[in-house]
Amino acid sequence: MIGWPSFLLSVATPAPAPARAAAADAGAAVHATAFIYDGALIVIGVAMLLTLGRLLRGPTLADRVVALDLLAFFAAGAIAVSAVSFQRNELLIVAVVVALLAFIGTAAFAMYLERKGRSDAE
Amino acid sequence: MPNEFVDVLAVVAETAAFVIGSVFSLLAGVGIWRMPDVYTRMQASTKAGTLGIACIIIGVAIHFREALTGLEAALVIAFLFLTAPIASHLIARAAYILGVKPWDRNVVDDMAACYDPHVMELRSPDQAGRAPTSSTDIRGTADPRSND
Repeated sequence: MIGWPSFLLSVATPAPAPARAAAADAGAAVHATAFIYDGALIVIGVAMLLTLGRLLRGPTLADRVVALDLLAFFAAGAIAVSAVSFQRNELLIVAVVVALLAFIGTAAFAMYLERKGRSDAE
Repeated sequence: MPNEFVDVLAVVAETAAFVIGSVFSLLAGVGIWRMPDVYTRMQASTKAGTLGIACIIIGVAIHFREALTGLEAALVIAFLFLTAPIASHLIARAAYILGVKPWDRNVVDDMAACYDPHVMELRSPDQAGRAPTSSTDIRGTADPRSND
């Protein structure tokens, strides 16, 4: 076990028996690598900001639809990361719903765009 | 002892999944911001975005280590991998019909031989009027660098 980074070691090494029972209640594994979840949320937030910039700026309507699709993906990922950081695994079903709704919204937008393109060409 | 080893392995795998997923998500964001036209932006968002979110959700499943959570995570990944290509195909087709121009340094336009904006009908290469012998024939004539 020697040689692991300290934050991994603090997760993996079992504490002495009385302290271990207390740590299990407090959720020791969450606090040990919590900065990973914070970092993942921050990185996803930066990616969401870039995507939001494309959504606001996108020269054509198709750019905006693509950006909206990716934004919904990132929302599903952020919900999944916050499910870990809050220790609530029920939140993961929300990510399922967001992923489904993203597809339905994108398909509807694409159908509308295609109809618009056909009527513009006439 | 083996139990501890499994714990360490799970934390390492979880951390790696979160880091890889974050990096690919950031790449998708940078790609959709920096790419020159809608088709290349779609490429960045669909591939890198799907892979990044899938890695993050694999990390979540490793973290919880429960059957039901793993099933939900598999459901999310299955939805993403099934719907992302379909959605990007629909948007690309709609954008082409809408008349969105590709990047001005774009070289190949395979759709130009198959889609006539006046007829407003997409045809497969075999029915594309000139009766080409193969799909490479269409690709060759649609290429502005080839001169025949």
